[in-house]
Amino acid sequence: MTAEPILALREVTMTFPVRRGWLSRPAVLRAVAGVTLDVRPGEVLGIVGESGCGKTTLGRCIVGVHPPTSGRILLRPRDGGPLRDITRRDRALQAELARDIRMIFQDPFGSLNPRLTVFDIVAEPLRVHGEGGDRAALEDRVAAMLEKVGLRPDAMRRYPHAFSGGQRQRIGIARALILGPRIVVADEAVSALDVSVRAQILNLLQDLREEMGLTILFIGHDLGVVRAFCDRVAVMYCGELVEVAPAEELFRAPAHPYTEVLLSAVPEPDPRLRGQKRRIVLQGEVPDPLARPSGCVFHPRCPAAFDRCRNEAPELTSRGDGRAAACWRHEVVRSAA
Amino acid sequence: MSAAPLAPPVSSMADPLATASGWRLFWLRFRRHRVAFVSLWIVVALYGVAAFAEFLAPHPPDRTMGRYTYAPPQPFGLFWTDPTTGETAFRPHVDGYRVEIDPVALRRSFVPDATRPVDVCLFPRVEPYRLWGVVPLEHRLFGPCDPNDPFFLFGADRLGRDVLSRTIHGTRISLSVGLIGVALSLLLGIAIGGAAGYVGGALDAAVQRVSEVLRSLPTIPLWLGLAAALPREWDPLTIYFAITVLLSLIGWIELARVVRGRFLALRGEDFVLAARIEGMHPVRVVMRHMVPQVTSHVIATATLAIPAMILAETALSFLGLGLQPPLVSWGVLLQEAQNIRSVAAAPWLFLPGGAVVLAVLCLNFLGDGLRDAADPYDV
Amino acid sequence: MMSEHTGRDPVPQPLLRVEGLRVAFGPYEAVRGVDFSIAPGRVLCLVGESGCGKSVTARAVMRLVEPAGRVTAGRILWHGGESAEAMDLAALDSRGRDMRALRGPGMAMIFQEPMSALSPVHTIGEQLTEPMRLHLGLSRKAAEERAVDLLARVGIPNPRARLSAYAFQLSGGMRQRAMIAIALACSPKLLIADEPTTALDVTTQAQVLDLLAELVRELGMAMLFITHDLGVVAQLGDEVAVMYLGRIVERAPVFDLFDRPHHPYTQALLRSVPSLRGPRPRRLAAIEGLVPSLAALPPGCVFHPRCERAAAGLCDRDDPAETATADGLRTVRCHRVEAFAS
Repeated sequence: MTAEPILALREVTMTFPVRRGWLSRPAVLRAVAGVTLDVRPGEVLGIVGESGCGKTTLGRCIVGVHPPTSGRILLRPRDGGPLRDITRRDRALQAELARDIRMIFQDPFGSLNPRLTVFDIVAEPLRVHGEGGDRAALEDRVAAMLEKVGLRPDAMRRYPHAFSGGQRQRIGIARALILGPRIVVADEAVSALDVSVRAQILNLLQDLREEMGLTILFIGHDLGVVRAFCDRVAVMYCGELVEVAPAEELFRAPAHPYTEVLLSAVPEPDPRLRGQKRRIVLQGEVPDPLARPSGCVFHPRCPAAFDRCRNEAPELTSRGDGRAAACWRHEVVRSAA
Repeated sequence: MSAAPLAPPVSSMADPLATASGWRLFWLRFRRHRVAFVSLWIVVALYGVAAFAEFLAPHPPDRTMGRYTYAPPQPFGLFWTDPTTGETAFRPHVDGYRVEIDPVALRRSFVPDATRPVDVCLFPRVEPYRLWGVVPLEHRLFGPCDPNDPFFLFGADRLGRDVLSRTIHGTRISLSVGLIGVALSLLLGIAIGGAAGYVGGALDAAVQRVSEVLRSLPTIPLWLGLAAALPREWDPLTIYFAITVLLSLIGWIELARVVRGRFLALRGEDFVLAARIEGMHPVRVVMRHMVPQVTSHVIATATLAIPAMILAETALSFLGLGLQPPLVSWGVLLQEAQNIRSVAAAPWLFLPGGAVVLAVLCLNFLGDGLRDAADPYDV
Repeated sequence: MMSEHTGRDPVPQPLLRVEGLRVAFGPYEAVRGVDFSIAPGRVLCLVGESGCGKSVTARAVMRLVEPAGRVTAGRILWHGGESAEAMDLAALDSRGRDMRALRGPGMAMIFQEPMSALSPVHTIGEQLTEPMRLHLGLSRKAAEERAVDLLARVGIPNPRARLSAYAFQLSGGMRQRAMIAIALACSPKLLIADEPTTALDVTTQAQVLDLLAELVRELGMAMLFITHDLGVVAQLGDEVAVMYLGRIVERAPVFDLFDRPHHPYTQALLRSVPSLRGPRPRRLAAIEGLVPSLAALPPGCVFHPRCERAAAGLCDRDDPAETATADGLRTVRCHRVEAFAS
């Protein structure tokens, strides 16, 4: 459990200026607020939270869409060796990292260029990174990759509009994996799919992960899917990590009150749980990200908040059994242990 | 391992639509738009007329026949009945003229006279001329067999010039003003709008403000002012180019707006994001992933911009501030129809206006069709 | 195929009975013969994957599919009127007076995207009071009082102040609550909810589901609830109808359906939903293949290409009829149902 991290986030913060009119002074939106997280090689780490919690922004910082405002992102080089700072990237570094860290997108319709054939889409990474050689060699590699994701090789001559959502997602996976990356950031990769197709894609990712030794950051909001698919889970609220734990543990006994609330809200496919399940009804709404509450961000809605929560922000602290939570109540448990 | 390779779902491999490129789908959608499709062929024909004006027009545009001032349009017939013998024979002709003198006003006027046919030939031999100033030719498409006979299908003007020939020659300038003006607008619009949409931020804000100011100016007085500022001593061709540049100075705004809007939307698309994460050069991202998505929209907007240019040129020339004789454009021709006398005595001088209406309508229909076909939210 | 079983239903006289409903969009049939009924105070969940026709069915009941689509066959019998005779909504003019009078006091609808269903230029108060004044003939004052009560009832804090708010000023969950309040404005007998919680976060979804369940219980309305989420069905439904490619393949009371699903599609759907309890599955159960397009429906039973139990020479040839179980509570559309149902 103490494997050296393949990817490490240190106090990563991402803020965006928000203009409310073009003459007004911009406000600062803290989308990600001081996230520190180790990603272990070969694991599937789930990042969950409600919309606007910063999980997508965090994923985008990692793949290099935008550099974080502060904090560091560290990557273990392919040959082992010490962690390398990849926070700030010029284009050359971004291109180099694009072989290692790749992304699978949520929207199976928006993520494929409608004007390119499947061949051009899947072969593009090879071309950009000067691999693959001539057309015939490229076609061979694309065909092999398409077969791996469960598509027939003759699909490469068609355009994305000829495919269904699930098949497009397979094409997106082929594009992400053709360079043999080490880390894949899957941002809500199955959220837009129907139940039956979703299971197909998750199983495919599971197979490919084992075959290619991938580390997957699985960003999602469907807790059932996250439980089934992920080894560890990180819960985000208002840009902060509130709990990190092995999936099994987290779902069995959530340590943070917000995780508890989240789990209690999931409608379970079992009508017998209807009356029995204790649903914790949250007060109020997710706070305006432009006006974060003092102390613990969750305290205004927390059913277990006490005085300290209103004034001091708890750190994400490890409990020693591979679990960590940012909660004063959890702190009490820890000091008692 | 993973699931077995799947059968294609939505359409079989034999379905040509599955392997149809974006352009082909665009064309198929456009074909469904009947009016636009017909308009496309009319527009193509009009530009054909513009290209081969010298050959198609029966007369040179500036040929005057002083005897026939304000001669009315002649009816055309394929068969002619000899009034003396009563025999009818195949003889393409137009009716000649008989001069009538108003007994009160003593004004001479022409009346078509069926008894004096003017024979019409295909490819009659005429004075040598050069097509596009280069290719020497001695024939025109059609005209009177005897070049000295009167032949005015659209009537004649104040100086006895053939309105049809002048309208055909005017097509060249009027339509090319639209085309060249739009081409210039396109360059400006794509460069400015593209930069604003891709870079965003302060540049975008600046471009937005400038175009808002330009859009708020009343265009006709602005053009009038600018056109009036052009030196009188410039030769007509220079004026022509200056006018197109003036028109495109306003024309780019709409195009820039469209390109900017599309670029802003595209910049957030996942496939553009994917290309950026790839570490691709920004120029390549723009050229490979963004430009192809906007071309159909740009073509549609540009097509819709051409008629505006044509109308602007016509308006300027009509007011006497655009092109000047001896250049011939539809606007210049309509200038002839400015006074009440021509309205009363020679209504056929308005026929070039019909050409304007036809061209503008067809281009508008065409542009609408292209825009509908370019809209991916249709189907 | 008429649904004889409804006569033996232990539930009270239905409010709405749909028989053999078919809806076509151009050459394609999106709904291909659907039967169901809903009684007052009951929730019927229509569940299925995208493109199965569940939303179209709901809209057809409200006669909102025209003019793009057309109700080509079937009856929509409405028992909510004053007379003892049922009114066939399918025979009414979709834009006629009778149908318009029914929308609001008879049946109301809430949608997935409240932002597109609420008017951006009218305040919540205006949108709430207008139908009350139109259909119930309330005065402005009375309508406003009732609007405040309704907003409070759906859990919007500070309701009087919210009357003058515009839709964009509310958060997603509050917007959905406002839309529910508007739907309830004329105390409809039937509430049709088309994926009302799909766009919401899970904690907000839980609140809205609780609210809807409470309202049904309290007001005695019937609710037709469209969803793709079997978890939501389990928490909310009294009866469930599973749709696949324009047909109901299985219909049963919620406990029966989750305990003993009969149709292979229902069984597969239930298996592919990961639960928060029990052992963690190493692989999820997927339904292989893809949903065929409406333009190229497979012959015989439309599910047979993806069905584990499809029998050659039967399922790929004959379209199965709807059969009811002995107790009359469940209908299944499958040739092989006797072969494996207990």
